[in-house]
Amino acid sequence: MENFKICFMGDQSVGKTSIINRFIYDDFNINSQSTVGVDFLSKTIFVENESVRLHLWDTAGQERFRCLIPSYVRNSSLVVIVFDITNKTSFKSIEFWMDTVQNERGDDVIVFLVGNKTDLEDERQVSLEKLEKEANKNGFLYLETSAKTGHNVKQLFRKIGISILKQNKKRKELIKPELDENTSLMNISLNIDPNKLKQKEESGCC
Amino acid sequence: MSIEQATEEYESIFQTNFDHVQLRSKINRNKYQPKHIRSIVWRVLLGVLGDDPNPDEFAKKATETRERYSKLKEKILVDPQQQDREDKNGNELEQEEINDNPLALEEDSEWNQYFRNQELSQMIALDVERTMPGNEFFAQQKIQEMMIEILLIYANLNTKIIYKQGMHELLATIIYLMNREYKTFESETKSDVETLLDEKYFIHDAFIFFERLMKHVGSLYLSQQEKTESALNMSKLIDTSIFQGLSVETSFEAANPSVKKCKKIQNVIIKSKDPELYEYFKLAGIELQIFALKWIRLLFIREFHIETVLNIWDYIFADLSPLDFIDYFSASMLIFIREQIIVRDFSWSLKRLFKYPPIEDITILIESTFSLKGTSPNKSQLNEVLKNSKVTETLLALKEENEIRKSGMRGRGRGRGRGRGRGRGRGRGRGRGKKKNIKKQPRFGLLNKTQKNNSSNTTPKTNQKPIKPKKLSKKERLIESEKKNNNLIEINKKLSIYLEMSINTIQDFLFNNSQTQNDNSDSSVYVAIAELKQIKDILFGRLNYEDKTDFFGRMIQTSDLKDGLNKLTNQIVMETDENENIENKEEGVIIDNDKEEENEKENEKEKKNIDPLSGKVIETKNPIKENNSNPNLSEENENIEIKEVGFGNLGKKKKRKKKRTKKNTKNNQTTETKKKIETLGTNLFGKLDTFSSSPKSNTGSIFEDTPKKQNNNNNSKNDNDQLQNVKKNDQSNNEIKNEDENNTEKEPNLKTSNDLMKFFGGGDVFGEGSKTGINDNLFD
Repeated sequence: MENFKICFMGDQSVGKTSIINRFIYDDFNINSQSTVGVDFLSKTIFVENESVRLHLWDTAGQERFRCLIPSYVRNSSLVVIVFDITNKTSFKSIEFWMDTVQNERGDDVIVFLVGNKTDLEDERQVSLEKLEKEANKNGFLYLETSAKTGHNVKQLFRKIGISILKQNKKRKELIKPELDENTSLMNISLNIDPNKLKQKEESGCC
Repeated sequence: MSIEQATEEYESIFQTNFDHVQLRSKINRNKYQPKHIRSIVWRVLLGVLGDDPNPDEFAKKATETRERYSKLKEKILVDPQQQDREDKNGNELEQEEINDNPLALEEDSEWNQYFRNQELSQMIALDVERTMPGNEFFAQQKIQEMMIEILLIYANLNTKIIYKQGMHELLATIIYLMNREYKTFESETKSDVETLLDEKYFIHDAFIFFERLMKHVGSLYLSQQEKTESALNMSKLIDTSIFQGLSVETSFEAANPSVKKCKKIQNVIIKSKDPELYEYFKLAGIELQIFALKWIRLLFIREFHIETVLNIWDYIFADLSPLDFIDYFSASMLIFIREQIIVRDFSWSLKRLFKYPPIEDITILIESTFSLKGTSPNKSQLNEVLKNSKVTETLLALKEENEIRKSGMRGRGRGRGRGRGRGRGRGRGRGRGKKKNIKKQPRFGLLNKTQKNNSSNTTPKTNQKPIKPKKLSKKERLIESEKKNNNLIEINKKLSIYLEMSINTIQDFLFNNSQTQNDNSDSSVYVAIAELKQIKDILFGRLNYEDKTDFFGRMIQTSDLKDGLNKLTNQIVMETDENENIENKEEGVIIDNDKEEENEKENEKEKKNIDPLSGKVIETKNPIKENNSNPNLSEENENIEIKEVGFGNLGKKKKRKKKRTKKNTKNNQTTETKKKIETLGTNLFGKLDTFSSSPKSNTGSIFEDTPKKQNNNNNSKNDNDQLQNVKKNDQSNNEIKNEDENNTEKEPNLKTSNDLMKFFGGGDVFGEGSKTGINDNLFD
């Protein structure tokens, strides 16, 4: 089974940890502790008859002030940028997060944009039109969720799974011929190695 | 808790002849654990009540600090509207203000400060509101407001740190403890204890306490983005041939003090105290900062129960250098659960690291912390942990898998060199591990890989004498590693001498017998002996070649290629050096030189196996033996003369190589011995020719080697067939086979160099590799 690294980013207190907790434990805590540094969780999901293990890296919202974020973004298969639909500032920060991702990865990574806290629809500060604009501009996949009610959370991760698999297949096709040749080469050297070691151990030494 | 108990404890601890050093050592030796007056003890330990705390002055100091806080509050929490506001209805007010005085923001610094504070307190509130969820004490608005106020004042005073997530939890822990011990006292005249635990000054004391704590651990909250430039420059100064692990990138990240700390735990403490765990982290691509950052920034608050945390803090504060204690405590936490960490599935391991298991009794952790630090004579606990866990198998299996994975990656450039290097390193390591001397091997750089294989034997032994790790400057580390390097070479030399003695015994025996019997089997035995000798020589000198190829691979991996071209030429010269060394050694080592025939054979073998030049030549033309003999014969004559040149000092090899590169590449004629230069020159230029003349340097070209490789294998098999009569030499057979393989494997390595040359041409090197990050291995 293949592992995929998914990085959650977004401002402080927009609900990154809550979305992940909803997904993994199907649980919600109105006051989850603030994340310090980064957190890690993993879960296996089934999409399109394949099981995919997602490694979820939950970064601290305030990490934007540090230089650590790039190292989390590195090697991610997918980045989820979360904002709070009741908080304009967190929406404005999308640009900052996007820059961080692009500086590190260029366009080489899938980006999901997630507007969280749809349960607080009354307090919405970010209009859907604006969102559409933003998503179209950058080619994001956009989804609105509520970690509190669980709205769209499962769908989010299903979509994540699907797009990761798609990307993975593409990548595999690209490097396939090379891999084949390699395996044949690899066998030659590897077949000899372990045996040799065994013999050596058995034969003892002076 | 009653005030009587507190007073009693206070009086027993803080007598007139009180000495804080004594108190510290009492706590460290578990002779005393604060019960009712912990908040006082901590303040004393941290120096809140004076740097040289004197019980007579505690009350006075406390009053002073409280006054200071009142003044700070007055100054910082300005209220331009002069209302009777205590920073409570902040949000409401702010909106009014913005509407009423739009210009105030630019003009009036008081307003400016006010708005900035509003913004800050909103940010802080986001975290404070969710402090220790589930603990009702922190859900109280009164407490939350107090925390915001303290953090806000601190942020104003410390413009570098301001407020960072995590600080609120440190403060919360302090408040949690103080809340338990502080009391309202009615009486007019107060005793010292009563003064120190007066609830009236709760917030004052909490702030001063927090501020003092941050003085010790605040650096962990710093981020130093602006220092990246200097970090990059610094890394340029590091000779990467010695500090292979330190890529540009790691030094870049090391600019952040907390990351630096994590790196120290991983690369100094864990590496020396639990090499298996260190190796595992390396295999898994796990860098400590991804999970331990939280540990050290929060002083383990999230990892243990609050009561346990208070106890841990006793020890942290009792240490004269709290930050050091944190390092060793983290390391002992890791070593304690090493069995749960070193598992096949990296993500399980990560999960475990991110969620440290609940530990009821931390005595063992504390004890091993002290033993890691080297301040405790009692090492039994730590050794127990190390001895009892059976992780070696897992580690070995993982290494195997890793190699398979790496070699699977070979076609993709970066992975190639590395995979090969590792594979071979391991094979050798096992062979050598059989020797008794292996236990004496110091652990470091060159042999790391091979050593880890044997660490099941060595770990308990070596842990008995923990070397006190101290902070080493770059220069010291340089000297250190050079010293170790020399040590290692010494050991290998020793081993090769042992081997030589055994060979001589066999040789003498055979020589005596053959004079009487005169049969054909002799020659094959001599071939075998010659091969054994070759192994001996490899042990003596060729190790460098081995490691260098690995280094080469790693160099590609980390793309620390700034002076890569230099190194490339270095490598070439190293190879030629190697030949030289082997030949030189021949002279030093073989005692009965009268057997010329044998020597000849030996030399021939040597060339065939070791000389990468001839290997390269073979590659272009097909038949192996014929081609081999020609250059070798001509070289052999030279070799004999080279012997007079003398015995190269292996210990200083690394340093010399650089010099030599310059000499060789720039002006060939200036070196002392003409002949020597000639060999070096031909080798060098021969090689450079192959570099430049090989037009296909793409990945595909590797596969051209494959048929040839098989040829070579066959060749060695033939040799083996011949030798099978001699039972005693079975082992050498294997060895030789191994060497033959190594030899064949060189070609792809050279190809890698080709690739590298291409890279240099393209100038593309720096872009690619800088992206290898913390989880490089984990998620390939």
